[in-house]
Amino acid sequence: MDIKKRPARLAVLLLAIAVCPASVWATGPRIKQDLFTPNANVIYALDFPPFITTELAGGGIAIELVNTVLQAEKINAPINTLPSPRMLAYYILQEKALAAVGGHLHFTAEEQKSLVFVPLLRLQEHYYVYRPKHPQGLPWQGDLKALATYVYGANQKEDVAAYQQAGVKVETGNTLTLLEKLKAGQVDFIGGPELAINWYLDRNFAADKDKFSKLEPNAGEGTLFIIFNKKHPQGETLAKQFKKGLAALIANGQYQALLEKQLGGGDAVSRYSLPLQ
Amino acid sequence: MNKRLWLFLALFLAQTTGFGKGPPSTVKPESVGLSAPRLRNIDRLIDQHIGEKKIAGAVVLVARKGKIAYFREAGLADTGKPMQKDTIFRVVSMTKPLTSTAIMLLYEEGKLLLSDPVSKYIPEFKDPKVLELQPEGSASEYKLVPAHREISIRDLLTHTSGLLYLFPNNYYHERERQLVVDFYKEAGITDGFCRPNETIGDMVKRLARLPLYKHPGEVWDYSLASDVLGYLVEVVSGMPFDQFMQKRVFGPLKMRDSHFYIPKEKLGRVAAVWKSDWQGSLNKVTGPMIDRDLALCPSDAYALSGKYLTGGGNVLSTAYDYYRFAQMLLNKGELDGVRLLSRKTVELMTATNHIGNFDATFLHDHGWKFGLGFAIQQDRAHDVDAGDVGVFEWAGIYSTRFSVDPKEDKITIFMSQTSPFNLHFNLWDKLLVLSGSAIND
Repeated sequence: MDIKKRPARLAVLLLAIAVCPASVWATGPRIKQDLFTPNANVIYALDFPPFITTELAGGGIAIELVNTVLQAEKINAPINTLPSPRMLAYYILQEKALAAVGGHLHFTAEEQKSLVFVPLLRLQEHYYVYRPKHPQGLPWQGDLKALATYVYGANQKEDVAAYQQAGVKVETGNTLTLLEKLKAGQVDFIGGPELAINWYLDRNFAADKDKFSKLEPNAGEGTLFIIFNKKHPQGETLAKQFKKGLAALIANGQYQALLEKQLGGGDAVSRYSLPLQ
Repeated sequence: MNKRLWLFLALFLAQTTGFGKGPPSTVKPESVGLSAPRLRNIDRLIDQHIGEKKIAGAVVLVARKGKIAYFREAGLADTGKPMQKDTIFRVVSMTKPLTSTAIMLLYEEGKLLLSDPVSKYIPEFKDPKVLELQPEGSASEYKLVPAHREISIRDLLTHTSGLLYLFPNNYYHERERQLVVDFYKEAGITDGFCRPNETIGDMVKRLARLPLYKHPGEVWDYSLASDVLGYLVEVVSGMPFDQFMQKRVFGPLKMRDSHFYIPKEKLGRVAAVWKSDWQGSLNKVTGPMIDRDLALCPSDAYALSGKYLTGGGNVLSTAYDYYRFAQMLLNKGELDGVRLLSRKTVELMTATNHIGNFDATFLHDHGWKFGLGFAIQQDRAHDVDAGDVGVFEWAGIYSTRFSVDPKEDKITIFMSQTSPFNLHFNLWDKLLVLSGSAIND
């Protein structure tokens, strides 16, 4: 166009140059920070397959439960699954994140004062041994003192006071490394829910899965929680709302249905389900 | 002897040695502008190191103008077993340039761009966080802040991603590094020199969710980035990494003795690893070597199969195989009529500076930059000098090395299996001086 003859068009062009930021005209980086959209209500979960894992489409049964309740209660809170307990502790204690989801989480008595624990699943725990090392198993009858000469492989952040009191030596690691230590004879027994142990045995020890044995009776019961943070501006309110939503889910049978879908039928559901009344 | 017997013998030799047609031929050094008497200085250098029990043995190869002019084995490969030209070595980090090549093959096919965020293919890398120390007296020692931008594929190739290796924590004492390494350990991340019982994807998907040491593009730090690239090859190609490498790199380049896991019939050709104090104490290593955050498991190389396929350090290879790879790069992508990469892509990989004002000082010095898989000499104003601007090199943690000098059309390869790694630097620097000073045209 002949801009000398069209002052109006020239004015529009100059205005556009003035209004648009320089970055629009420049060749900027392809990857920008504004790709990220912060959300004030992030929930952090800790890897605990198959209950919590990015490997499964729904994120694992615990995450499916949480998302189902959040959806029903119209709570907008994305879940970010982390591989490190320390990161989870950082987000909940330092960043005052809305909530955390996990099993085997350990908070001090002081820290617990600012947290609201909402049970999601029951975790029936068992001890496991590696049969080539202990063909007869271990003398486990429910009293840790009988295992005083053995080495226990504990999860990171697990409360091991009872083992130490009983005189059991403790080594720590994550489930995969503990299974490797068990196989290598560096620890004598480890503990965990059957589903979690089987997850790793199937994926990482398929060739000698049969050599790992579960001890009876069970090693006790734990709980997989969603833990709301009272220090988050909406923590207490959303904790109440979540509890109400979870109770409704249990009452209308959806909780049971979700567990059956994920865990199959039989006694698996009863071993991991919360009391259903 | 009848023809059938000759045929049988030829097939037998092809199976039991790395060289189907016998050892690769060498040319008279003078025919490629090298001095034979001067190259013999390399004999003396290596033999002296063996005599002084600094190393157990070595294979050295010098090539010029596309021909091998010097190819010599010396000393022991294992107890009671002389070194052979076709001895197989753990080349460890010399896997990285091979992995970079795999990525560039996919790049040439339009399957990825170097500017792509890694999260486009591995979603766990989305929304990265960087660990930043807080001023003393703050409520928290550190904060995890959003990265200025995501990690790109190019960041992985150039080691500017902000990811770390664990083992440099033994040498660099910074609090941020220590804290990030602690996160790695807690999440079960290892350097992979002891092959874990999981897939590389399992490891990468955990690593991706851990804090970065620095913002992407704002650091040069040698890291697990090549391991991520190996998994990226799997995701983009849909093939296990070892199969991709066999089909697209080892096969076309006729690198017949390069493997992720050693075939049973080649077990006897794998060299032992030796621990040397470089002062006469030389002992064969049989178990793991753990020194704080450095964990090495040389015996993993005898495993016939396994899950872990790492782009950062898995490959076993020979001096000749690695020469073929280096010669392809020197030829700008082609070897023996097979074009693996285009000239333009090799020019991009070997461009003198991909890392701006940072220097790749990890193995070298200031004046060394990093390309897409190896260090590159940018100037001759510093102490570590490989003979020319534009020389590119990398190494493996059991004291293996390669150097490509495009200006002089020369390749130098040194293979030994000696630990600790850093004590061989002096020998390598001298070897490059000797191969360079043999040039006589």
